[in-house]
Amino acid sequence: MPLSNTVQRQYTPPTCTLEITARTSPLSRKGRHPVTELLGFILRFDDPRMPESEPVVVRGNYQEFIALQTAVSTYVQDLLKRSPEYFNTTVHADTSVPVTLDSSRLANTDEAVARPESQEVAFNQKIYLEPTDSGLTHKLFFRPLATEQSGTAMQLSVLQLFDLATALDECVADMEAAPVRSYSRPTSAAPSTWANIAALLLLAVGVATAVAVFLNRTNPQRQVAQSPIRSNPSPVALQPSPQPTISTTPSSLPSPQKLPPLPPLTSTTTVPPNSKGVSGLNNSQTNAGLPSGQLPGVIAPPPPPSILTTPSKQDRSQYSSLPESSSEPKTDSTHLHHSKEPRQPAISNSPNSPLANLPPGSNLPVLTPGNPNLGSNTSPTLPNTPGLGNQSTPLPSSSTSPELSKGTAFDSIPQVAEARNYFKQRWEAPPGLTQTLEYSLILDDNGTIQRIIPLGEASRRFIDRTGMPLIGEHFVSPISNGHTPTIRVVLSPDGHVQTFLESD
Amino acid sequence: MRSTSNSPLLPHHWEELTHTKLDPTQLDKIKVQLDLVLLALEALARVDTNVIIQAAAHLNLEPQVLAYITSRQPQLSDSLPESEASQPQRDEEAVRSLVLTICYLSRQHQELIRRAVTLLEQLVVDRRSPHDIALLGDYLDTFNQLYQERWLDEDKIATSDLLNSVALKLLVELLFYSGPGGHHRLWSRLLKGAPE
Repeated sequence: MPLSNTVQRQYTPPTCTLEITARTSPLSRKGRHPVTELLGFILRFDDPRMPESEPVVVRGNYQEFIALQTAVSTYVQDLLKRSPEYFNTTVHADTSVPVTLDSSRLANTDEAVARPESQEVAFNQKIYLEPTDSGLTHKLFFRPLATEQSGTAMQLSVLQLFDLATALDECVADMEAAPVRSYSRPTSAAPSTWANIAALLLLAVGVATAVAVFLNRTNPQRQVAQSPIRSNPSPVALQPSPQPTISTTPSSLPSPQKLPPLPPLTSTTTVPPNSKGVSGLNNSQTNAGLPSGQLPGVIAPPPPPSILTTPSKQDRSQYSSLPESSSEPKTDSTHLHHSKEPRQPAISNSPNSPLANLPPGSNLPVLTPGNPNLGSNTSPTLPNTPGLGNQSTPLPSSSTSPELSKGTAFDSIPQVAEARNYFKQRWEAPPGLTQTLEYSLILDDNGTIQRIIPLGEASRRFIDRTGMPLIGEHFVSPISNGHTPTIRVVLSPDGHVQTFLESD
Repeated sequence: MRSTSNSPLLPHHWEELTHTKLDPTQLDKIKVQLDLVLLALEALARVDTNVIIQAAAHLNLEPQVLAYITSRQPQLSDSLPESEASQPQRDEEAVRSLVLTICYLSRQHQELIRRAVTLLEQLVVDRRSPHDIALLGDYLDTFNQLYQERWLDEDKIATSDLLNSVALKLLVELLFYSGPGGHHRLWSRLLKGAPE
């Protein structure tokens, strides 16, 4: 019986559908269980304005989700900083470059990759976006998510980009809302998994004992046959099937040495392996001990009734990205824009002309595909990162290890060790803290912090007690390759500090 | 002022905006940017001072937003409710409050903003002028008019083309500020995107 629930959730802005498979905490007393671990996702670009076209579908695992979310978020932030003149060229009928706003897929060739300005990022095999000729269209390169069906990349309109960012943000918000542990570390056996296994062991021992006692009463002759079982309760608990079917013949019992490897907890539910349509998920998740049969897009076998956690109607409504129509004032555009009634200005007579502060066209930031800020912000899948590549790699040892201050084998970049040292000098658990605090820190290439994402309510509440540097403040040394890595910081109540690279 | 429990503002929304330090120069630039965003909201959705204050009250941010408004338009200070003086140390709080209020208002008007952006995208495809569509044409005209009214005495007279570009860019910005992470996007935009 799994102690965490596996659910599928959908985020459905108008032009795309993000479906995730995740574990949720069964301990939450709230109506909607927070996501504690994202197992995989399916993203469909199903713009209703193009009913005849087949929707583009991509799938990925947790790391790829984070990479996609980071790439989109960073790109949107760059877009908002772009010069106004960049948008002006899109609306002059006589000068505008015709663009295609539909979600037409690029041919499944490396046409875009072959463009000189794209070469730098093209070979990084990262999910990334780049602007097209217009300020209103954008090209999303799927990279590791690309399939024959999806093509190498697709063009997004502003609305599609907004909807994609909305779906990803809402999903991340769900993960951040987890009360205890929101993101599980993507590359290691999650502690919760081991806790579940331990609980399962205890449960199985209890069941086996109870059955043995029952059999002992009803059939004394079987007591001999059951002796090995009772003397070796663990092997019974390690059987993949949770059903306490006890063999009556000692010879049929496997010796502990011949037992199969400990299965992941969730595999105790009967799941057909290698379900179709989840190729994007299988590789990494299998390594993570996740059941391939419980991947998005697949009708998983029904879990036990007690863990049926299909979101309620109310839950689903919370995932919807629809505007708060109930609170939105009815707006009549005709009335609005032809009304001549005097308005009270929102702002007036500012001492400085806003446009006087706008950057001149010649000094406008130029976003090129090879711009490190663009390319580097697209998080990779970290296939070769020592600390992340091996799903079974344990968490880096705690700060009590003397070598941590110098760096560990998991420190793919020196900034990870620097971040650890930073917090080791500052972290002192506040009295009463019983939970581990976790933060995702997105760095700028100059070594300052670009964004702090507290993971979980406790992390949010205690952020002022962590010694967290301010945004824009010096934190670690500049990133040599110009990337903007994300570092996970784990602060334990016992004073331990762990850091590791989430994405580079 | 409404109770916190009724406020749609989540505590972490405020906290996410507090982890930075702003110097006076930075604050001035941010205020100018916020003025422009407010101007776009007003031009598109008739969000005037009263609407802003009502929204701020709904978010329990009324004093801070009042401080901001009175500091930006002193001529209105007599007609507005009493608020604490706009002390320098309160400027930052006022700016943060306005960021959250703007995003709240953008979300309320998301449908309208979305429609405007949809039309803009269609115009690009059709290679037509924004003035061919009433919603966009009126938005641009109103934006131009309000800007000229409020900053007419400035040395740099903005051309209509430039104002249109600014207005359309702000329209796209408003769309992203209306999303779930809008407050963070606007805050980051203000911190890092303030023009030199």
